[in-house]
Amino acid sequence: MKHPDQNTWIAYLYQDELPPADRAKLDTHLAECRSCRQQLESWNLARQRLNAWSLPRQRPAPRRTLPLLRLAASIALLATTFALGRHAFPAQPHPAALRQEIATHLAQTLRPQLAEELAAGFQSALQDSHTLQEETFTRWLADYAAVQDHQRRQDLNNIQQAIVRLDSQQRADYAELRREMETMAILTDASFRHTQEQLFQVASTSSESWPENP
Amino acid sequence: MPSILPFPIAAFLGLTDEQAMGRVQSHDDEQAFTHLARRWEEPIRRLCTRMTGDEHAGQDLAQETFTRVYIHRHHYRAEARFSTWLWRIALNLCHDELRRRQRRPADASGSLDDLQDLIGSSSPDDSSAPDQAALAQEQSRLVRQALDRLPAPYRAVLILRHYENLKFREIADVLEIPEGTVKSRMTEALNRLAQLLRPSVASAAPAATARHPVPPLCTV
Repeated sequence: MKHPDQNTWIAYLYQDELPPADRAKLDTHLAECRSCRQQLESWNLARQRLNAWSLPRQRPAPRRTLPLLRLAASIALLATTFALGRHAFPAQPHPAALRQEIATHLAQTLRPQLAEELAAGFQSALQDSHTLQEETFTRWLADYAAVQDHQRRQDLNNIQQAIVRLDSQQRADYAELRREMETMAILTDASFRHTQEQLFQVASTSSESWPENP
Repeated sequence: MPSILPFPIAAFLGLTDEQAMGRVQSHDDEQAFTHLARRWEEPIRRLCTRMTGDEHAGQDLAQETFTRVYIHRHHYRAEARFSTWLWRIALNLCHDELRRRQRRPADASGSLDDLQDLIGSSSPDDSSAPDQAALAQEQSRLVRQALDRLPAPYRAVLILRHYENLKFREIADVLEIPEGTVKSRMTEALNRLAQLLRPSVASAAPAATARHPVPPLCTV
């Protein structure tokens, strides 16, 4: 016996899926085929069990006309409120789920606060670090300036002392030179005088020994 | 093509969903949008609730679906059926929600197993006897758990065909897959569902049949 495929039987389950002629053929087959009948009974039993879950109908909303934008905004607001409400307040007292909800909520709530505190602490530490760095740099600069100033004063003092020494040395040298020059002048003058006297003596001697012109 | 009549008159004359959406698209017609929202809010809420197994999520997702419809109203193609477009938006949102839950398994771990017991919102008949109400509630919980264990593609096909009464051809349009694939998924979904519900069928069926006669098969 050739059995119709499962897709055909699935369509047979519902009155509105197959034309009457096809249904009649399948009815005929079903009357003779036990395995197909069992298959359908199993599916029908499962379908029948599905009817146990019925959802209560919601109360109809009051019939009044809302402006379109207000309606859309209301829907969005309601959806957001429901979503927030569901996340903030677990809809069931299951301990594990409740604990997880609380942990998640706390984590979500505390994370921004912790981030703010960390950011504030980081800013404060950064500010302190900058201040300390500036103070250290200022102190180091002052020390360096003091050392440089001391060194500069010492150098100046040394230079002044050297100038004084050089000046006194120059003065001494100048005095020595002057004395030598004066001695040389005196000696030269004496030598000139002696030469002059000798020249006078030579001249006088020559005039006496030479004959007079005729 | 959008109607040129004022909306209340057009609605009285039987404006189709496509015509109403056309008015929303072309005129930002608030009354047409309200009409569509009222018409489709309940089916979309049911779909989202059953896809997620969570009534609150179903409510949120239904609201989000209509928000998306309004925001993306200019993306709607006039030649397509409005319902196909709407089911697709809702299913995409459901898949997003399920993916979010997979990333946060602890949030979804409890599902609504305990909540349903607490509030009993799914109890089909409040006037029934306490033991019958408890039995019905238990049956409802088992079905919800079984659906929750089905892969989302199978669950979507099953919900659209069984609960929302869409034809396989329409489901194929919504999911943008061949009709044969839809039937294959339905077959697999029913096979798995029969497997998942088998232990409870044996224990619960006698009690149920004792008080309520089993309705005839193929009634949907």
